[in-house]
Amino acid sequence: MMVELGIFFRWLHVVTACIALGGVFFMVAVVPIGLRSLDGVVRDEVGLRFRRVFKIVIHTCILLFLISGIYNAIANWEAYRAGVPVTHALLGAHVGLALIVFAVALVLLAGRTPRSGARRWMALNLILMLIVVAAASSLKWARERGLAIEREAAAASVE
Amino acid sequence: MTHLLVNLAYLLSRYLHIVCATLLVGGTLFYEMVVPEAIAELRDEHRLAIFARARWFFRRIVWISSAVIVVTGLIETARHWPTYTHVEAAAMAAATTQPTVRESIAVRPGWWWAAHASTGLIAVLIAVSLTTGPRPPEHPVRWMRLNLGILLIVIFLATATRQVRLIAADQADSATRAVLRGGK
Repeated sequence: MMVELGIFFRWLHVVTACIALGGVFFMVAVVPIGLRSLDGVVRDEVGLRFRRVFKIVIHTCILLFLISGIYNAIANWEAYRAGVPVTHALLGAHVGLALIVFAVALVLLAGRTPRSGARRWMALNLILMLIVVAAASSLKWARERGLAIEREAAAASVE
Repeated sequence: MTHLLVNLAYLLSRYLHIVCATLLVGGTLFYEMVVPEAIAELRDEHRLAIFARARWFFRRIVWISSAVIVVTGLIETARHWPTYTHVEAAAMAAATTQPTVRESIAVRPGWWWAAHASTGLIAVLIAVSLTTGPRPPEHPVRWMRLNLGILLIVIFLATATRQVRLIAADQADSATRAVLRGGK
């Protein structure tokens, strides 16, 4: 049962990351190009509609990130301990940056109209998200390396 | 030094695989769910103009992401091939003169990898074919929805492959220790 739960929460975490990162990329890079053909007033109105739907997506993603992230951290805690200090450094960077990304996203999407420089801030948030993914990817490597070292040590002690 | 560079290359390859998958999945979801909702009240010509421009730009993303996903997927496959092909388990079975512990298909990482790779290839081909050509297919949103479902299955299969691979590594390790204890 624990294996199935582990697979499910990891899948949920990855899918949520895909939706959030891809969605932010779409909002920063693709939507402005798509809206270029529209007149000023209509463009602003459609832009607001995009933002409204996107807000629902991002708020749901943050909730799912928190639930699946907490479960994954608890489930892998032993593996993180095996790879100290590298795993803790990467886990800290991953969680800390992710919380900053959530805060920026929530502030940017608060209110009915976008703040000035919202697109630039969202682009910055996209870069931060890419760093969060890099930290997560490295963390997985460090975790497996830590476990491998622990296994080798156990085998050596048996020998 | 070479070991470090190889590790960095694997790390970069995995990172690119994930980032390109996020662009493909997130872009598809956005195209399929957010765009139609946001432009629902516009006139037909405006709606088509937005769809056409977004598709024109999304095409490049899909093509580049698909190429990177295939290349990095091949690199990851080469890296984990011994686990997928039971080389380690077979070696342990020979060493212990006992039948291998992995009997069920569900605990064979190679099967999960095959399912992930084949379904992933189908999803990539659908994404590329949807963005190829001057005109979109007859029901683009429906196709996108289908592809999104396939992509979610692909991610599930990737997660399951990794989990089963770790279990297999654990079993091989336990067998090694049993051999060492037996030899003592």
